[in-house]
Amino acid sequence: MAFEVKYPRLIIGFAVALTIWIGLEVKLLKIQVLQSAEYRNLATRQQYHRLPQYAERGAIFDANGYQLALNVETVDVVMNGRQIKDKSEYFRKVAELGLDAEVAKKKFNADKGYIVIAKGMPPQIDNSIKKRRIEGLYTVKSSKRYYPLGYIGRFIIGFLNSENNGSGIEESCNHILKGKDGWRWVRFNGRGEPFSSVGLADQLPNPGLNIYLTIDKDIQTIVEDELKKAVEDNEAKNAFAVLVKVKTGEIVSLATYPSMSLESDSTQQNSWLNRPIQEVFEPGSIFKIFLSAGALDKGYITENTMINCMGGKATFAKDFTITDSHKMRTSPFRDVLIYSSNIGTIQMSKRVPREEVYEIYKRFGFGQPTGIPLSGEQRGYLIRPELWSGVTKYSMAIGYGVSVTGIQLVMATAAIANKGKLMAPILVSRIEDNNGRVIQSFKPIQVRQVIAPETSRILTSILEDVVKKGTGKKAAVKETQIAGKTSTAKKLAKNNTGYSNKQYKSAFIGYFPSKYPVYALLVVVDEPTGHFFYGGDVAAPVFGRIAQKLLSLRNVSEVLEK
Amino acid sequence: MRIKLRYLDWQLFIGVIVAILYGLLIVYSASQTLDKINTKYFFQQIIWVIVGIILMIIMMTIPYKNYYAYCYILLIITIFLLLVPLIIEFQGTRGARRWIVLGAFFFQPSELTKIVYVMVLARYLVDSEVKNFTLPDLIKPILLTFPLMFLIMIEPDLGSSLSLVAVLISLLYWKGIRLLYLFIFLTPLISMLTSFSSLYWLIFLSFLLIFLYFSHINFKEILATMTVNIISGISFPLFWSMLANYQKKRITIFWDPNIDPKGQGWNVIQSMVSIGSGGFLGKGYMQGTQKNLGFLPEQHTDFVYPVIGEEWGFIGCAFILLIFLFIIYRLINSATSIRNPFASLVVIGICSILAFHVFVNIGMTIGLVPVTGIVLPFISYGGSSISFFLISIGIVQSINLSRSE
Repeated sequence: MAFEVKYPRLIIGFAVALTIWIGLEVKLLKIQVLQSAEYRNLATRQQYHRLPQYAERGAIFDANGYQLALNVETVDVVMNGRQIKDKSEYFRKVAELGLDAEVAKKKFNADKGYIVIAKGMPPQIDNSIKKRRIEGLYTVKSSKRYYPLGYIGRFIIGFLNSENNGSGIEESCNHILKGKDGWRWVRFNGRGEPFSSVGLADQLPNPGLNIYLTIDKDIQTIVEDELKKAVEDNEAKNAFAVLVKVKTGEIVSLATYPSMSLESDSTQQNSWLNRPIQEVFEPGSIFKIFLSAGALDKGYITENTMINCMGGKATFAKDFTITDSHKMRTSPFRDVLIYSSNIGTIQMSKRVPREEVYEIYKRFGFGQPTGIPLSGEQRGYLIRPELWSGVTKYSMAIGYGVSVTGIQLVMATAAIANKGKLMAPILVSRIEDNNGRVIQSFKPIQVRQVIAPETSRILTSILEDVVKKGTGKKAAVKETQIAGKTSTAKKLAKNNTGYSNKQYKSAFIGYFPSKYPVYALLVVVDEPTGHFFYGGDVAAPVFGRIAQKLLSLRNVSEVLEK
Repeated sequence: MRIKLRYLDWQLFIGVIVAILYGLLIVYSASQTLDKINTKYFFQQIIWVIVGIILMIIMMTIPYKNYYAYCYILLIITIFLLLVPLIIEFQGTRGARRWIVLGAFFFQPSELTKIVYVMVLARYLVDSEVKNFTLPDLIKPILLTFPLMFLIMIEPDLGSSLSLVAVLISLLYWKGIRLLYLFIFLTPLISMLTSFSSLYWLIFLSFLLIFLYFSHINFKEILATMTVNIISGISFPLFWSMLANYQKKRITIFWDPNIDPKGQGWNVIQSMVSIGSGGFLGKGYMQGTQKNLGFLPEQHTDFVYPVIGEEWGFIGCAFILLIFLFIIYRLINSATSIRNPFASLVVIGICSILAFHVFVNIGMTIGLVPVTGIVLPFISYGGSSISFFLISIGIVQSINLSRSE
């Protein structure tokens, strides 16, 4: 039974074992020495993830420190695909929580540990998830923009969607509000869950800065309510108003009705139009103020210069016949403006050279943006004098053949009220950081002296008479003296057949108290279709009511008493 | 009976003890992650080691001639034990029919099968008294092997099942089979692998026919070889379709772990990331980030080697491989120095099981072989495995002691 293994066979046997052994060693050397850095990299990449730390967005305040836009804490619900064992059970539980299980099903990926299935949920949902012990579902903190006033002031505040498109201050001042996002390094475990903070190389987010507007939310509310009423009473298409402080150019209210939809993804583009700054229109009679102011200032006329108003009907050129609703014969210039005679205004314009006319309008700021810090401001259109036809000067004198924005009209009118000084509009009064430290504040800027203070005084007395006995009687209130001007501008007909006899823009512009003007206000009502359409009937009462309510506010009456 | 201790292979003991102590260190580390500390594994492993050493000492006192005498009876008992979990469903085994459960005691009959198989095959090869192996002499060993493999495979324990093939080849080789026949013996395996593409299979069969024609063996043998090859080539795809999905996956994933990086491939990828990121010196004991964050599945059993790789680096990996090489060397040394052919074959059988476990387990953690669920001897946590290998060492030592007679 003796047994002896042949020597070569022993050698070969051991050699086979040794070869396999060497094979393992070589492979080990390859992955542990040659490719070690690569694998270390892989390990690091799957263990450490840089989670974004979003900067808190700055808030928007009104002039009195009331929050117009702020952040509320919410949570995002995250699905861990790697941990889900029973899919149907899981999605049933997701649906039970009131989340959209269909979205979760669509986004499901068994390899991914971090899939956001619902954003901006109330933080309480975290408790519900924990109570139900749903494996593979958790929440991460996030925040959501909240606008306490709802519809009020939507056009000023605006919105910003995830693609950084938007409107209002949210969009135009995004660079100030957004701050700088940071990040945090987090260790993930083998189940794909965030496990612990690393605490190294983290970048703390820089919160955004807070913006204080010149808007007063109480006044804004009054104005928007009145616009709503005006649109409803007159069965109009829409209405807008701008209220500024004449001395500083601070915008107290900037309103449009109907307001923008609260949904940021609204497809109704038209309703996004921030009319006072983004809509251009032919201003009609209120535009008569500016040439009058220029003519008085340069001495082409005085308030008592006699103007031939030709009995209410005159033809100035072929196809250019003008009528007045208040028929007048030769009258002093004051009355031309008080009763808004188109013929009288055109007669007056004949005394001013065309370059001078153009210069006057330009000095009041027409044809140029005012520089209000909101996107999409229109500049309007002021035709250069060398392009004028024979009647351009006449039509412009009565507010046609020129296009302007509401904000331009208000700033120009405020210049008349402000002893001839044209101010730049201010919407943002200051920028503060989170600790209340003022980063930047915006002081009133005088653009230019447009007319002499004396001219301003004369014009104010005329405009007072507009309200006392002229076309603007319905704007009058007992609390204060208002100076203003009406307008009933015919709109261009849709079918290009010239001006419509049915569609009007009815407006009233003015300032008060006329002795020491504080506020300038423009009210425009588009296409009133009720009993009235004259600016004096439609817009003037709105102006009056806004002024009345404004004066009843305690903080406003204090300002006025000074 | 007086035991002459100087005949014991003390070097083998030292190798095994070092491996076991190192294994305890690793299991202690592997049982702890940052969010879960489970030292239960460590203390249980200590108990297994003590139980295993007692079993080893008992085995040392049993003369190996008893195995020669009773191995066929042992075989019948083993087959019976293999059938038990298939008939009775035990609680707590998660559907696998691998264990016999007696209270808290889990017993895996496939481990016992391996040893008994070694003894039975060794006895057959000794008894058959064949001087020069021819192909018909291979039929009986194969008839013994395949049913056992089948029983183990359906438990399912693919790894242990394949280890029987390693034993068969090693013993035939050790007994002195001609290398030509060993090659012929392996050809059905090649047929199986190539059978998935009929073109490759036919090319292989043609070359095989030409090779056999020039190798001066008789016509009957050529015919038999070709028949077996054709049968295995046809039947293997059928058998493949019978495999459980997870078994198929384990094998296909091996070719490219990225097919299923989250499921089966995940283990291999994470294992390689752990070993690779350990680098040359390792991240330090208990400092493995992959391990600590729970990226490694089964890091105290099948995938214990990556824990060594991550924390001890290439140095630790090479050290453990060196210990195993040393143990294998000591076993081959014993097998060479023993005059009794049965004893020599048993030692070689045990050696081949050990080597198979080491190479396949480590190979699978570094992406060289498919994941088959085979543990690392002496290192991996688990009572059956520790007991089995210590019992095996006990048998080898009892054979060593017999040299004193």
